[in-house]
Amino acid sequence: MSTEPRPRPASLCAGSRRDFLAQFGAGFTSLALSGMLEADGFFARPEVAASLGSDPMRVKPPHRPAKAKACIFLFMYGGPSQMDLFDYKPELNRRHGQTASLEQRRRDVKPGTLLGSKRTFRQCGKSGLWCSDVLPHLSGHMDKLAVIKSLYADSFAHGSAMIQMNSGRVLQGWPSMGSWMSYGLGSANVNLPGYVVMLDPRGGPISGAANWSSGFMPAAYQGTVFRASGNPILNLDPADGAPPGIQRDTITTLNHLNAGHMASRPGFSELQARIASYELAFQLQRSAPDALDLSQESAATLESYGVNQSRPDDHPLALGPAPFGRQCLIARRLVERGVRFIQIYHGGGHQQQNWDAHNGVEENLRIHGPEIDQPIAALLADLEQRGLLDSTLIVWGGEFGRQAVSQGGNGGRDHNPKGFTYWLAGGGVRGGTSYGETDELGHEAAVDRHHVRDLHATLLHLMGLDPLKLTYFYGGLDQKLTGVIEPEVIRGILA
Amino acid sequence: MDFPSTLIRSRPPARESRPGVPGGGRRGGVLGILQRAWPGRLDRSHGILRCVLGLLALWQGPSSIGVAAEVPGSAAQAPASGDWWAFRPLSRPEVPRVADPRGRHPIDAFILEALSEKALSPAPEASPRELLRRLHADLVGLPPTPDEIAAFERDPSPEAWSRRVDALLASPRYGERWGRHWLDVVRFAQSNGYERDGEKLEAWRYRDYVIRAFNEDKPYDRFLREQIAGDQLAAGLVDRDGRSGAAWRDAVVATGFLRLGVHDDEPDDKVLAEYDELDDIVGTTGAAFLGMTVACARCHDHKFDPIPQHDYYALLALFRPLHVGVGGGPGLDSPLFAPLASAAEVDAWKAGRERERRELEARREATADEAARKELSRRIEGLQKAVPPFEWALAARERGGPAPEVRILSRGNPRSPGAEVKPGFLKAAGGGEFAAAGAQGSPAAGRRLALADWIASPSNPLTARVLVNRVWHHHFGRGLVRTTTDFGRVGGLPSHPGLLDWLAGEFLRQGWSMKALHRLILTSATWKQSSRVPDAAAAGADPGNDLLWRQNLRRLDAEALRDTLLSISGSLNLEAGGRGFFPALSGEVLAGGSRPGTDWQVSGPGERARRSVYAYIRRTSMVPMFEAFDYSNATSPLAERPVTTVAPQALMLLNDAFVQDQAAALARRVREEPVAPAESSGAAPGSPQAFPDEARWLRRAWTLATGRFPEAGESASVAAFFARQVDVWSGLGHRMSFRPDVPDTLSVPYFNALPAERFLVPPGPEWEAHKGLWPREYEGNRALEAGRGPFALRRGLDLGDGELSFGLVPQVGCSQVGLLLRASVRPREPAESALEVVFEPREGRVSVRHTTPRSATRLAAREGVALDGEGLRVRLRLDGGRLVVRLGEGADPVLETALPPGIPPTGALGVRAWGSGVGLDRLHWTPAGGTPRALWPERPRDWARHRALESACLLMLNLNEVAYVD
Repeated sequence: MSTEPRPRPASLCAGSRRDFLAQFGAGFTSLALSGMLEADGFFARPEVAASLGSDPMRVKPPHRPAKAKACIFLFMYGGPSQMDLFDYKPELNRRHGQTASLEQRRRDVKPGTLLGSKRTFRQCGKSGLWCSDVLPHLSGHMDKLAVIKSLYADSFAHGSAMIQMNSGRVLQGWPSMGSWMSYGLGSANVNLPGYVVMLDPRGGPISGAANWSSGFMPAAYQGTVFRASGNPILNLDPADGAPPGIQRDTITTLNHLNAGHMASRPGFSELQARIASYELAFQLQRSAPDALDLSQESAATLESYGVNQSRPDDHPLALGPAPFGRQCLIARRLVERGVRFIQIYHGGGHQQQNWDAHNGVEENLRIHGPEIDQPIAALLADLEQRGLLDSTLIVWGGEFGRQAVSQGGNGGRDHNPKGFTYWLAGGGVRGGTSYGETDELGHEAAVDRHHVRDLHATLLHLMGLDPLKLTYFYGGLDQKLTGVIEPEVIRGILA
Repeated sequence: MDFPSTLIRSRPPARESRPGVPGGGRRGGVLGILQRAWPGRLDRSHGILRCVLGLLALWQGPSSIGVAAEVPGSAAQAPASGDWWAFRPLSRPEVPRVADPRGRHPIDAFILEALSEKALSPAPEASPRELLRRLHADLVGLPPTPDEIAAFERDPSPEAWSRRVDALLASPRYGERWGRHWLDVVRFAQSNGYERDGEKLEAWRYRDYVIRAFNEDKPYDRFLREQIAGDQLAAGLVDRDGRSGAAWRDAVVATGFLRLGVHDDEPDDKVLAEYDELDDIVGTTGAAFLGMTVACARCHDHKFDPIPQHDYYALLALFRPLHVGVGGGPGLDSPLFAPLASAAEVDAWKAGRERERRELEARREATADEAARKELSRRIEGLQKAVPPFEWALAARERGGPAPEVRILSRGNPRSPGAEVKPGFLKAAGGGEFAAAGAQGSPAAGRRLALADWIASPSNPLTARVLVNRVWHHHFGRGLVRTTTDFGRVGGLPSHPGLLDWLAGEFLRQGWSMKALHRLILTSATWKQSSRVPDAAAAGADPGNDLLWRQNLRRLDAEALRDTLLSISGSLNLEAGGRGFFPALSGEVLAGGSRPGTDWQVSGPGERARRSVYAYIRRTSMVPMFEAFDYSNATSPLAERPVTTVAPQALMLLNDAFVQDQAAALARRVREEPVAPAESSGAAPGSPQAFPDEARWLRRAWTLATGRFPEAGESASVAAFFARQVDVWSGLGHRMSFRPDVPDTLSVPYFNALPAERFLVPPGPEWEAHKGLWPREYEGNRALEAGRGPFALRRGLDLGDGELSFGLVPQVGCSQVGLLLRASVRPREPAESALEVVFEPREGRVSVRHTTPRSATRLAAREGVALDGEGLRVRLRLDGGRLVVRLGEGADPVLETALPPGIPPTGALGVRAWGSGVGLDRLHWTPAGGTPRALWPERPRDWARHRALESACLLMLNLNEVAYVD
C-alpha cells in the first residue's frame, strides 16, 4: 500500500514482516480497557500503548475517499440462474425447445435443448430494471441496484469457481477478498472480528473454509465464522460450562502474573500484546452475543426480515426466509458495530440445497427465491431508513451463472461461467443501473464484458482501495487480489 | 482462461528506500543493483569496473533467450545475471581473530566481529534453566521435566551441556520437531484440496520418511536427491538378493515430495491444470532446495532475479516425464502410486499370479461342469484385476517413452506455445545445458536425477547456504538471511555473509550432517546468550537484534505449544507414525464444510493425545488449534511462519475442550502422583506434612508448567485465586451441564461414526446420550429436524406422577432447552417419544409438546417469559393426567395442560439442549407422596477443590511463560 509506510515483508532488510507481526496488537482489533490492568494503568504506559498501535486490524486510511465503509456480500452459492432472475431473455423464451450448440463445459460445445424461463418478468421502479416474479419483494427496490449482466469467470466447476470468486484465482491458497479488505483497511470495530462469515444451516459451501482463508497472509486476516444461532464464535464460551465470573477472575489473575513475567523481559512488545489479547477475548464474550441479540429489535423489524416465519411445508429442503432473514438482520447489526466485511452464504451442501439447479430450475427457484427475497428487501430498506445504505456496499451473486439449455428430466440448468449476473447496491453505486448484456440466449457475456477480476477491482475501488496499490508481498512478488493482469474498474455502475 | 494483450505491469509504485530492494531504493539502475549486491563494498574506485560488468550482465541475460521480445520493458528491468552474492561460489572465509576470549568458537568470532564494529557486546549466558528449556524447545519441541532441569542446574558444565545436546539429537522426538519444519517448506498435506478434497492416500509415509531422515541424520544431499529422484536412485539400492530393503523403500517414498501439491480433480482446463501441477513442483523445488522464487518466471522473465522464462521451462522439462494431473488408487499401472516392492519382487508376484492363472485355466479345461467352469472363469478374471498385496507409496511415476516436448508458454498459457526448450538448470546458479541421458527425444529417465545431482553438488552455490540458513532460522527465530526461501534480489541480504559461507562450508565438510550443524550452533556462546538483557545502548543501535547481541524471545509454534500442553498435563502419547489421528472438531468448525465431517474420523482420547506432527492434515478442514497459532498453510511453501497475537488464541486456550482436558489432566496428575522427595526438600524446604495438599498441588502444577518453583508473590496470587475458585465451585456442586456440539447437517459417515456423547456432552455416565432426530438424507448429508436435536436420558429413573424442579441456567447462545418427561426410545426407532417442556430463552417462550419419532405436537405455549437469567426456578408437576409448569417462586401455573393420549403412565427423564449448553441447578424429582430425590451426581467432598485446581491449572497453561521461550 502506498498511502502509508508499508509494513514491509520479511524480505526486506529493515523492519521485516516477522518484526511487524511480532509487534501485533491484540487480535481482532484495538484495545478494550477493563479489569485490573486498567486499574493499574497498565494500558496507559507509553510502551504498551505503542505496541498496541501496530495492531494488524487497526484502521488504515483508504487510498481514496470512499462512501462505502462496510461491505455485505450475499453469496448465492451454487450459481443462481441469471435468465430466471434479472437477465430477461425474450429470445430464449421464444426459442424454447429448439436445439442450440453451446459450450457446456470448457471446450465442450454440444447441442442442447434451449430452456426458456417460465418466470414472468417486469420492469420495475423509475429505472425500469427487469426483475422476475421469483423476487417480488426485491423488485420494489430495483432503483437501488446496479445490475451487471455481463460478467464471466474461468471455471465451470464449483470448487475452483468458488475459490476464484473469493480470492481471484482458480488455485487454492490465495487470500480471500475479505482478507484483502481487512488487510487494506483494518477494522473499525472494537470488540468484534473485522471479517465475518455466516453459513447456511444446510451446510457450508464446497471447499469450506478455503473460501474465507487468508491464504499466505497471517491468520489474523481470515474470516471468522459467526453462527447466527447458538454460540456465535468458536470457543466463545468455556466448553465445560463454567460461569462467566470464573473466566473474569482467570484472566485478571493470569494477566497479573503475566505482567510480572513481562517486567523482567524488557523490550518484547509481544508479551504486552498477548496480555491485551486476553482482555480482548473477554470483551468479545460480551460483544459477540450482543450483536446476535435480536430481542433489541422491534417487532416490525423482525417481521420485515421474515425472522419469525415458520418453515414452509411444501418442500423438504426449503427453509423459508427466517434463517437468511436473521443473518441479514445480524449483518446490519454488525455493520452498525463497525465490522468491515460480512459474507453470508445462502445455500449450503449440494444440489437443490443451494442454487445449483441441475435437477430442476423451477424447483430450485421455488426453494430459494422466498428464502432470500423478503430478507434482502428488508435489509435494503432497513439500511436506507437508518441512513446506512450510503456507507454500506451490498453485493449479490454466486460463483457463476447457468446454462440456457436444459439439463436432466426436470428442467435443470448446468453451470455457466461464460455469462452471469451480479448486482451491487449502496455506497458509491449508481442505483437503477443495468450494465452490460449477455447474448440473446443469456449464455455468454456479449456487451461490456467483464472478468471477475474487474468485479473485484470494482469492489475494492468502492471501498476506497486501489486494486493496483493493494499489494502483499509473498513468493517473490507483490501479490494482488486481481492478479497480474491489470483489472478495469466497472465505471458504468459508479455513482 | 483469458490472456489479454496487456502485459505484466512494471514494478509496483515506488516505496521507501531500502537497500537491497529493486525498485524500492532511490538508487535505481545498475549502480543500485550492484550496491545491493555488494553492500558496503562499492566505493567509487570500484564503481566503474563494476558498472561495466553489470551492464554486460544486463545485456547478456534476457537477450539470450527467445521470448524477451515478447515482454516489453523486461530488458530494461531484467536483473543482471552475474554478480549476485547468492550465486557466487561459496567463499572460504577465515574465522575472524577477535581479541575477546569469548570468541573462541568460530560462530562467536564472526558475531563478535560484527558487534564490535558497532561497539556492542554480546549478552551473558542465559541461566541453566533457560538454556535447557530453550534447547528442548529448539530440538524436540517439548519442555524438559523439572527433574531434568534440576539435574542440569546441579551440573551446568560444558560436558553436561554436550551430553544434553547429544541426548536430544538422539531422541526420536528430534525428527518429529525438525521434520515438521521441513513439511512446511514442502507444503505437506494429506488431501488434494478443492471441492472433494480427497485424501492423498499414503501421503503419511512421506511424513514418516522425513521424520526418519532427520532422526537418522541422513546427509542432506542424499535427502534431497531422494525427494527429487528417489525412484531413479532406487535401482541401485535393492538388497543383494534384489529385495526392497529399508533404503530402497525410503528412496521411493521420498518422491512423495513431488505429489504433495493441490490437485483439482475437476479442473476447468485439463491442460492448464497439468501445467499448474508442474508449476507447483518446479516452484516448490526452487523454493525448498534453492531458495529461489523460480515460479515467478512462469509467465515472463523473473523481474528481479536472473531467471529467464527459458530457465523455468528448462526446469519444468526435467519434470515433464512425470504423470501429472491424475488421480486414482494404488495399482501396478497407477500413475500416482508405486508398490513398495522392488522390480524383482513385483516380477515374483506376477509370476505367481501367472502360475495360478495357468492352473485355473488347466482346471477349467479339465472340467465339463458348466457351473464350475463359470466359477473358474470368474476367478481368472478376478486374478487379472487383483491389486497386489504390497504396501504402496504416493510416489513419482513416469509416463515412459520419450518425454513430451516442452515449449515456452507465452504468459504461461499452454495455448500459446513458443520456442521449444531443452531440459536444463538455472544458468544463474551455474547450471548449464542438460547433457545426461534423457535429452529431448531420448528416454526421459534420469532427468530428475541429473537435477538432483546438480542441486546436491557441493559446488552449487545455493544449496548449502539455503539449508544452513534454515537451520539457523529455527535456532534464532530468524535466518542470517531473513527470507529463508528467497535468496534472490527481493530477499534479504545476509546479516553475516562470512558466517553464512563459513557455516555452509563446514556443513559440507561434515558430510551434509544436520546434527553436526546443530551441535556447532548449540555450543556457541551466541546461541546461549540470554534474551533478557536490558541493554539500552544495543537496543538503540540495533533494535531488530540483527547483530545478535542477545538471543531472541520466541513464542512456541502451534505444534510445540499443543505438544507442550500435553507434556505438562502428562497425557502425551508418543506413538509415532502412520496415517495420523483426527483432532476433535467442534460443531462450529464442522459447519463450514459442504459435507460436514466428510473424510474426517473420530479418534479416541489416547490417539488425540499424540504429537501434533501426526495430526491428519486435510486442506479444507484445518484444525483451529493449529490455525489460530499460525500453522503452515499446507498449500504453498512456507518457511517462516508469521507470529501473530490475536484474541481467538486466548479464547482457544481458555475455552477449548482440548485445553480444558489438559487442565483437568494436569490437576489429576498433581493430585495423584506420589509426593516426590524433591518436592519436600526443594528450594523451599519442608516436609509434605508442612504443606497442605492444595499448596503442594499448586506448586507442583506451576513447576511442571514453567520448569521452576513459583516465587512467593506468584504463589500468593495463585493461592488466592484457588481460594476464590473453591468458593465459586462450592456453590456449583449441584449444577449439571449439557452441551450440544454438532452442526445441524453432518455427512452420513461422520454422523454414523460420531458417538452420541459427542452430539450432546452429558454431565456424567448416569446420562445416556442420544443423537436426536435426523430424518432427511440428501447428497450424502443428514440434516437435523429443527427442535429435535440430541438429548440425554437419565438412567435408572422412572417418572410417574410427581414434581420435577430445577434452576435453569442457559449458556450464552443457548436457543432451546427441553425437559423430556416419560420419555422412551424404542429399539430401531430414530428418536424419542416424550412429553417435552421446551424453553426458548431467545424467544422468551415456554411450551409443552408431545413428540414421537415422526411428529411433534405443541400442546400449550406461553410467550414473553424471561428465561435467560441465572437460575430461574422451574417446577414441572405431573399429576393425574395433567402437566403443570410453574416458574419462579409463584404458585400460579405458567402453563397447564392435559396429557394427550399416548403418554404412558411412567417413562424416563431426559434433557435436550441446542445452540449452546445449559446448566440445571438442583435437579430434583419428588414422586407423588414420596420424598425428593436429588438427581445431580454425588460430588465427592473434595469436588470443589478439585474443580478449583483445574481452574488454576488452566490458568497456568495460559501463562506467557509457557508460551514463550527465553
